[in-house]
Amino acid sequence: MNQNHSVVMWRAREKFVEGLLALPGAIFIIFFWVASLIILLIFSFFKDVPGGGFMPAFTFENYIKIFTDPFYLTILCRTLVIAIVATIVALITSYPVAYKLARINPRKADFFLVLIIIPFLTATIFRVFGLVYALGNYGVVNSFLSYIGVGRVKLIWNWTGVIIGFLNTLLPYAILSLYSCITQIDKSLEEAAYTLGANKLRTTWHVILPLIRSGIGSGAIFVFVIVMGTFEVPSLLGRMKSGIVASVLIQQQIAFIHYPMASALSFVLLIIVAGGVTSFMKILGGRIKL
Amino acid sequence: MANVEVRNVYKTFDSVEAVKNLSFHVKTGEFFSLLGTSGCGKTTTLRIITGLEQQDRGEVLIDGKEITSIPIHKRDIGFVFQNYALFPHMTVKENIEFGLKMKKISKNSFDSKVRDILALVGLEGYEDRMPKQLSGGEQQRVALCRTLVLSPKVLLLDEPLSNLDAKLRKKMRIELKDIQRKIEVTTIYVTHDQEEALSMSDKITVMNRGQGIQIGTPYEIYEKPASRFVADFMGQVNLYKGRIVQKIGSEVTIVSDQTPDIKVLLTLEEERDYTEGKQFLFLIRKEGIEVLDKEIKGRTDVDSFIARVQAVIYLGSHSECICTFEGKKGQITFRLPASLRSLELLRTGDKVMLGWRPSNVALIGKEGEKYESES
Repeated sequence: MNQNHSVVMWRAREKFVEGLLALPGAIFIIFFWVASLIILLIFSFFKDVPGGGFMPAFTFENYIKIFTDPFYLTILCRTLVIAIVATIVALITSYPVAYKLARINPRKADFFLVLIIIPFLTATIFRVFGLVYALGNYGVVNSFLSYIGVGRVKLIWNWTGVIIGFLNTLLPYAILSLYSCITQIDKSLEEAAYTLGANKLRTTWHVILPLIRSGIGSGAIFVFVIVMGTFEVPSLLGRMKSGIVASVLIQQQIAFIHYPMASALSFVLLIIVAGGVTSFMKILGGRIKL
Repeated sequence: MANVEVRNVYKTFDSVEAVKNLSFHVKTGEFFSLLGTSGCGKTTTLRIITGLEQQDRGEVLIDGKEITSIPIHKRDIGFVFQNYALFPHMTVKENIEFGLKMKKISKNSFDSKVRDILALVGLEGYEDRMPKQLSGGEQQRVALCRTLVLSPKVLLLDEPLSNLDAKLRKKMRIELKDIQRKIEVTTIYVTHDQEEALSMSDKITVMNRGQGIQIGTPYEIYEKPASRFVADFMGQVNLYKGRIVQKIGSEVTIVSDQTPDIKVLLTLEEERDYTEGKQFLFLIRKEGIEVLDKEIKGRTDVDSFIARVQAVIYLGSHSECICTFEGKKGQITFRLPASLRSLELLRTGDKVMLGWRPSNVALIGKEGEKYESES
């Protein structure tokens, strides 16, 4: 009985220590994320003052504007379409790379993975600026194309530029999440499919893809979330008119100082992202992991 | 139904020679085993036949036709993997149907085909289970079904029983052989378990370091091992180097170099270059050694000598006794006869007189040079 009691005490103390250790991180998250989200929510009901500034109020004006004003509606739709297209393109292009990496000698794969991760060490904005020079009308790519006689192609300040820009940002995420799934699949499953009469394509379709459904799901979530939040790409590589919510947000907040409108937009974006993530999880059974 | 021929096949992985000049011929309907320790190249050989690996040199022929240029999925070779490789996201039925679908066989026949093949292995009604709901033995049988439903020309089995527990393994041995006999499919079986190979095969190739060491029927491999490696691998422990000391007609007497007490008399089956003084490796089967009574000492049809008991090992179904020789190197192991099973009858330190009939002695290698091929 006595011994039992001391075990209970010991367990309780252990739990207390565990909680204590989690505290700094928890405080950080509550203070910087939850609290700021609440402030953001409050702000979104405030009123904008024409010419800059805002005043406290409780009005749904901003939300109503977002869902009725064609300007904001177009941006919302455009954001969703771009995010979905970029996600699909990123996943399709990264699959062959991820597969190859998963099936080569692990030591070689590590080398290539490091190459894929290194660009993360620079800020997105620098990489996107780099792309402006690479893809511009007199950039490296176009110079090469005209040299070999293909002629100049417009690769920037249009949708092509936006998609290329997003791929540049997103491929590493997509490759890494697919790679970690494919390495879990025993090679003998593929080999079994071959011996049963399946070629490479049908093996991929019937065996590998169903088995990495959750990986595709988590890859999709990552990519989708990042697209929704990356303002640099459409701002620098798209036309002025091809802004998405994130870039308009920056505009509203920094250029026009429309905090209440920006806050409302942020919340709508947040809800769209949450909805997107949930539906990806529903469809593909993915869980958030890398 | 088909016959398989492997001709002078070589395969090297990163400077390791996995298969080295390997040749064998499997007749139609035969159960053929590749037997050897892990890493001896037996699985690589199987993978080369399937097309999962490509040989560096040499040919693989099925029904006399070279198949190296045919892609895996068109070879019609069934392969059962060591880990079964069942598709985890498909039911038993879907797993079995997979190959039928790939071959674009009419879907109407699927149900009856799946039912028939499951009945063959005794898994009626298992259609809708998932692989992870099955025991190892059941998974094994589903893997077999998935391959057999396509009526492959050749069935390749890569250590299919090695992941099962000992009791089930013995049961599956009989079942597998039974199924193979029923459908008469040419089968190549890879194993490291000599008992498995002996009990199931029509023919065995013993492999070592990528080479075929000996090809023969189970009887030939066990009774007449061609080298020390084979003898050792088949579980022979009483192996001695010896020299012919006397030859009268076809009868020779060989004396062990290390242990002169061990003197064997045997009748040669073929007249060859067996001259006095020539060195040989010979074995005495442990199941053929008898503990003799004193009265029969001096019998000439039986060789005998005195040894000292070092240990008696109880193995359940039988016991083994290890003996040494006074003042000399070497030891001899034998299976205790039923009359001496009781542990009390023989104790460490006891002196025993051992003997055997010449039929329990075998010369290893017909020629002296085989004697060199020690493992």
